[in-house]
Amino acid sequence: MLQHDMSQYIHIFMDELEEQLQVLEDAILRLESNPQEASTIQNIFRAAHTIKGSSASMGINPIKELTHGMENVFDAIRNGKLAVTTEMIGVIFESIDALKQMKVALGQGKLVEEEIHPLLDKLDAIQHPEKRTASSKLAKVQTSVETLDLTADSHVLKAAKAAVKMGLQVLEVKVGLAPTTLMKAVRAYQIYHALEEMGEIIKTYPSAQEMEDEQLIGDRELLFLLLTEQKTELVVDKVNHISEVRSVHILSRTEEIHTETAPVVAQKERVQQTIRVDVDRLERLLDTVGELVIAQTRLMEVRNRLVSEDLDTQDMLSDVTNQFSYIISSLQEGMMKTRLLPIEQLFNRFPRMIRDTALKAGKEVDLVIEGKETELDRHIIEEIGDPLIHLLRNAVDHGIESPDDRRQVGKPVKGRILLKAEHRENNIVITIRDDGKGIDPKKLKESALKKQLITTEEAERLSDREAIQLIFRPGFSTAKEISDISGRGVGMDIVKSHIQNLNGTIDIHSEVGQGTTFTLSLPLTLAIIRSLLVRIGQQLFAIPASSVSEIVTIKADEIQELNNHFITALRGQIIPVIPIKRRIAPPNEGDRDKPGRFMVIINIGGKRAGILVDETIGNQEVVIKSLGSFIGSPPFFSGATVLGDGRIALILDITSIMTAYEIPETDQWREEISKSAATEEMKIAVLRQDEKEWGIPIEYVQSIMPLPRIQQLQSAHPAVRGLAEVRDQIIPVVSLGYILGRETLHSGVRETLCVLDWKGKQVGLIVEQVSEVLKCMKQQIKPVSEMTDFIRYAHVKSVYHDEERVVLLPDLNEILNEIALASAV
Amino acid sequence: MSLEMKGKELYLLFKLQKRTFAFSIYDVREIIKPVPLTYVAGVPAIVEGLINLRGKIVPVLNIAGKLGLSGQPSGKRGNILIVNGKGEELLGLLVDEICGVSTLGVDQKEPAGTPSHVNPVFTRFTMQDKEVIGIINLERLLFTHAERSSSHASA
Repeated sequence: MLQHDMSQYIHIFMDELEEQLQVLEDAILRLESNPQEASTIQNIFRAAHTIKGSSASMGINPIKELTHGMENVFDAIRNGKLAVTTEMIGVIFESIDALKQMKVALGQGKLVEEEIHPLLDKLDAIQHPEKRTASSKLAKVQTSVETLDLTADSHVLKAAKAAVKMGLQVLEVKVGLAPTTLMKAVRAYQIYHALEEMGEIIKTYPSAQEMEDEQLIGDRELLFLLLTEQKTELVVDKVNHISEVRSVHILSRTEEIHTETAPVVAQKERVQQTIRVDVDRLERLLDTVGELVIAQTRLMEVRNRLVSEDLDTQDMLSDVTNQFSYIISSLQEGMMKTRLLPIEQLFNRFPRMIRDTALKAGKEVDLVIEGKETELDRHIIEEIGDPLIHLLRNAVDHGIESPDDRRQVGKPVKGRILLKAEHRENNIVITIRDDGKGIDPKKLKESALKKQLITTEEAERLSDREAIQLIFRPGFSTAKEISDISGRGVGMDIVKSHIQNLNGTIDIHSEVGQGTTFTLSLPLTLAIIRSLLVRIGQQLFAIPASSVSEIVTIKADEIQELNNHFITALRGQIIPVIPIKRRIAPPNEGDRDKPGRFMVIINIGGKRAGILVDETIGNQEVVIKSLGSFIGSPPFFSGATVLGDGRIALILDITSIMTAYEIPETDQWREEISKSAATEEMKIAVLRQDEKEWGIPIEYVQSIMPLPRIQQLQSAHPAVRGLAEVRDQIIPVVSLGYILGRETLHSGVRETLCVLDWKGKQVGLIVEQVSEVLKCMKQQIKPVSEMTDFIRYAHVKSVYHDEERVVLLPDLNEILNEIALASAV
Repeated sequence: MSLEMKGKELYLLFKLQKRTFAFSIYDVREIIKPVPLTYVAGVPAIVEGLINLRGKIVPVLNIAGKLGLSGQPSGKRGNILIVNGKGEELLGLLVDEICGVSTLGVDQKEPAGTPSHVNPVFTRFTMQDKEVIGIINLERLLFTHAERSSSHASA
C-alpha cells in the first residue's frame, strides 16, 4: 500500500528534483563568480535542503545522503569556514551530475544504491581539510558563527513565524563555556534543559547531536534558538545558574521574523498559481478547441447561406455567431498560451554547458542571457535545444579566441557570448552573438575548394556574404583539428535543416575580428498556421503563408524545360517552376499535366521557386492535424486541415517539395545554368525566321511570349522596333529579321517575342516563331570557317548541323553590342 | 466476455465484391454513408483517401486486396465502416453493403480445413445460409503489412 502511495508522488518528486537541481546549478555558477554573495549561498542551501528533505520523505536514500554531504559543504561555506575554490565547485558539479543521473535512473524505475561513496568522500575532504592536514586548524574555525540563519531552514522559519504570531519572543541565546570545562557535553545538555523549561528550542548550533560529542563542541560557543514568553533577563539568569558558563548573550530575533512575514506569505501565493498539467491532456483539449473552430466556421457559413425573410431571426443568428466566434477565438488563444513555455527552461541549461565547454577549450567566456521570459511553443523549445547547443559550442570552440590571443589583439581576456530571445511580430527571434574572431570568408572559400564543395570560378564569384553561407553546406567544417567539442564537419547543415523543419530561418553575419552573429527566426507555435489556400486540380491545399512571397499569373508558353527542370522568368530572373499537380493530383484526374494559371512564388531558406496552382482561394488560419500513424508522413505533406465547409485541405510541406524537385539555393541555381552551358551537352532555342532556323543558346532566353504592343521610338537604331512592356518592365525590342539583313514587314504573320537576358538586362527579340528547344552535343556546332562558304550572313559565326537540318547561330553578343553602341552615339 | 463464453459473439457482416465477411462488432465504431474522399499522393496504395469525420481526419482504406479479392472496385460505394486504429485513431474501410449483425457461433458448420494459414487476416471461416463467411482479425488486417515488409528488409 505504501509502495502504491509513493508511486503517485514520485512524479511530483521528480519534477521538484529537476527544478531544485536547476536552481542549485544556477546558484553555484553564480557562487563561482561571486563567492561572497550571501543570498546566493542561501539559495544553494535552501535548494539542497529541499532535495534532502523530499528525498528523505520518499525514502530515496542515495539522493538524500549525497545532498546531505553537499549540504554540509554549503553549510561550511555559509558559515565562512570554507573558501570557494574551483576544485570545490568541480566536486559539487560532479555531485549534481550524479544526482541528475540518479533522477534519470529513478524515472526508469531502476535506481539502485548508486556508488556515491567516492563522491561523499570527496565532499568530506573539501569540508575537512584539517583531517588531512593539521588538526590545529580547528581552533581557527571555532567561533566564526555569529548568528544563526533563520531563513535557511523552512521548518525553523515556520515555527518562528508561528511563535511571533502567538506573541512569543524569538531569542537567540549564545552561551560560552569556560575553556577549562571538562565535560562540555554535559554542560551543553544542562543548558539545553534549562532553556527548554523556559520555552521551545527550535534550533541549536552545533546541532543537538553534535553537542553530545566533547570533541565537536571544542571551544565553540553554543547557540540556541528559543521561542519563549519569558523576559530576556530571566533567560540569562537561568543559564547563568549553570556552572562553568562563562558568558551568556541574548539577541532578540523577533523583529526580524516579524518583518519577514509579509513578503514570504506573498511568495507562497505566487507559487500556488501554477499547476502541472499532463501534456497529452492539454493536447487533447487543444484538439477539441480546434474542432470547435471548425464547427464555428461552418456555423458562419450556415448563417451566410440562410436566406431568411425574417430580419429579426437573421439578426439573432448574426449575434449568436459573432459571439460564438469571439468566445472561440479567446478560448483558442487561451489554449495556445497553455502550450507556451518561457524559453528559460531551455536557456537555463546553457550557463553550465558554456562553463564546461570553455574549461575544456581553455577559454574564458561570459554567457549573457537576455529575454529568458520569452514564451514559445513547448514543442519548438524541445526541438531547438540541439541546434542552440551546437551554435553555442561552436561559439566557444571556434568563435572566442584563447585568452592569450585576446590579450594580444587588445580585447578583454574574457570572451562574451550573448544569447537573446525576443518577440518580433509573430515570430521568436533568437540571437547568438560572440565577440570572437569572426569568420574569414577567404578561409571558408579555401576550405570549400579543398573539400571540392565549390569550383575555383565559383569561389571567385562569391561575395564575402555569400561565402559565409558556405558553412551551411553539407560536409563543411572549418575546425583545423577535430576537437572533443565540435567540428566534425556535420553540423551547420543539420542545424539549418532542423530550423527549417520548424518553419524557421537561420541567418549568419560575421565580421573578421569582431565576432559572429547567428539569428534564428521561429514561429510562435506549430499547431495553427496562417496559410494560403489554393486549388490544384480538384482539391484544395494549404501553403504555409510564411514561405509565400507573391502570387503571379502565368501562361503555359512562359514555362520552359531545362535539364528536366522547368523554369520561367520573373522580372528578369530565372526561377524554377514546380508543376506539383503531376505528383499530387489523383492519377485519374484529366488535367494533371495542364499547368495552373497561377504561380505561387515560394521563398524559403535561400531557395526560390514557383509552385503552379489552378486557383488561389485566400489566406486563412488553419489548425494543423496529423494524418495519423497509419499514413505516416507522405513526401509532400506536413499534415491536413478541415475547412469551414467540411472539406479537407492537405498542407504542403514546402521544404520537402523543394528538396524533391532538387531546387538549389538561388545562387547555386545560376551556377548550374552556366555550368550546363560549359559541359558537352548544350541546348539551343530554335527560332524560325525567313524560312530558316536560327539558334540561340538557352541561357540567354528568359521567356517566350506573344508579341505585346510595341511603342515605336523615333530616333532609334533601325533594328530597334521600339519599346514593349513585359512583366511591368519596359524593354527594348529588336527585330531578328532586320539584324539578319532581311526586314520584311509582313503584317499578316504572327510574330513572337523572345525575351533575352543580355548582361543582366532584358532585351526583346522579335522572331516569327520559336519552334523548339534543341539538345545537341557541343561538337555538333562548328565555326563557319570550317563550313563551306554558303553562309554569307554577317554575324553568323557558327552553325549546328546534322543529317536533317542546319541551324544558324548568330553571335548575339556582337549584334547587341553593335546596336547598343550605335544607339549610344 | 460473457457473450463470447457462450459462443455467441456478435459479428457485423458485410459484402465486398459479392463475398461476405465479418468483423467482431467490438471492432466497429460506426457505419457512415459514403462521402467524397480527399486523395493523398505518396501514401500506401491501400489508402484510398481521407474523410472528415466530425472534424477528425480519418484515412479510408480499400481492403479488397488484403482479403484476397481482385482489388478492382465494385463500382458502387456502399458504406464506410469506421474501425479503431492505433491508440485513439480511427480508420475507415470501404465496403459494398452491410448485411447486418449476427452471432456466428462455433456450432455452425465450418468448411473443412480452415485455411487461416493461407491468409492470416482471417481468424476463421464459417458457414451461414450456404455461404462462406470469412471472419477478419482487424489487427492483422491493418497492421501486418508493416511486419512483412520489415522482415523482407532484414532478409
